[in-house]
Amino acid sequence: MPNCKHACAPVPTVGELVPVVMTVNGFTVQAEIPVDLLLVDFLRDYLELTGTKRGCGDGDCGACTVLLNGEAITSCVKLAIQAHEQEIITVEGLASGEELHPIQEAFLEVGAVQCGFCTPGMLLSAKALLDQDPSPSEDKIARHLAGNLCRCTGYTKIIQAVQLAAQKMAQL
Amino acid sequence: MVGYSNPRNLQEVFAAMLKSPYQLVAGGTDILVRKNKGLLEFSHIINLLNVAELQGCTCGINGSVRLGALVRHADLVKDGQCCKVARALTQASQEVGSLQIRNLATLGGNLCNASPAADTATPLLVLDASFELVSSQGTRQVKATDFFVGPSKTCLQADELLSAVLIPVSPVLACGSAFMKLAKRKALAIAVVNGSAWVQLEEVAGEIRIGQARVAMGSVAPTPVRLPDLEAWLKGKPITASVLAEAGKLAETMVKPIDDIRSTAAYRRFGTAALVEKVLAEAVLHAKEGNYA
Repeated sequence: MPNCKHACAPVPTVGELVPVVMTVNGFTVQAEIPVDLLLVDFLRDYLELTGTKRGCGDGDCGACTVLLNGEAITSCVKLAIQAHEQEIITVEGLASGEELHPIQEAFLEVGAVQCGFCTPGMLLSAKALLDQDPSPSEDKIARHLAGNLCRCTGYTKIIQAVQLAAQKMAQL
Repeated sequence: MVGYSNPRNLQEVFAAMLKSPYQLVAGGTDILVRKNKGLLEFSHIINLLNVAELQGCTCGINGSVRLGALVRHADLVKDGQCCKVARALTQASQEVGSLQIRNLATLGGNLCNASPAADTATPLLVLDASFELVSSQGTRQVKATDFFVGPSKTCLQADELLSAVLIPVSPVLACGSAFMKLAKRKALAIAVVNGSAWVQLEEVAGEIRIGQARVAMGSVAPTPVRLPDLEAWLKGKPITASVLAEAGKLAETMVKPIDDIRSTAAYRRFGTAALVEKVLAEAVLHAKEGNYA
């Protein structure tokens, strides 16, 4: 992704424009954004990275989860300007070209994706966990995904997918 | 027009505050929720995340614990030393929101938002904490017990902000604390009731008794509250199952919960009795491990 100024029509907000620079999925991006722009809207509307979903708008569902400096956060309650000079990973940053991340492979193999709306957030929360603990217990996985709600799957296969992902990553 | 300031220290914060009206934003997990719901209009945003004096956490067994207002719940959960000294607070931070919220939200923000259900409030009430408040006029300290004055209301004056939380460390061993939260979900839930206890044990004629106790409850009154009558009753009591059960029953008579969307007054009274009994028992166990605070 090249350096970009905001190319597409942004979400209308009222305010001064401020310069922001951040690293997103390994690329440096810079833009002039309204002060009150949310990180989720910056990612979706300015960078056209629509993998991050807006589920509730109040930090309660986890669909907007991204990694900020390696830690899972809900981007709908984070101002984009407060992520200035920070590192963001979105779901689009997991695969390397056509090669899926082991966590993505695991979700597909196990069948942990139904409507898919919670999935980007789940993948990133799982990545944050596995990066810190390569072999978490089932209980720990459940606790670490507690901030990501799923209305379709009942969570069982999601947890199995994370366990499988841990095995896959251990073999790398 | 929504303006923006990104101060690096308190002096720059006070200068930015001259652009009245302003909105301080730290973690943003309360403020941005209100904004997203249309309950808050931004004026001039002052980003607090880079303010040096608000950061950091110093813990020691010989002095008080100083937590900068910007310390996140995630930091409190991770910090092993603070965990030993201020156990109830660490337990409470673990229960706030979700992992994602804990990675954003600050201790100072949780306290200044001043919900009667604030998870970090009752631990600080029983740990006898003080809050450091700063303004361009200077610094003052207030006891945690004087900080919360109403639902979502604190004693912060105009243009004043909370810079640090100070927790005294007991010079005597055999203190323990615990926190508990009753809620409808394991995460992302505002407490139906929450509460904390702190005890200092003493030995009297070979028997271990409660030397001193502090108990606080949240979500049962307009602010998080200490229960001084219960504390007086507990002083000197032996530690038996019936004493703890009676403490719970007494606590139930001392709180004034209401019916709201989360629960009923009746359930909250019932919850208070159970919670106080359990949290005292846990604080005693912690004290028996020979811990400070």
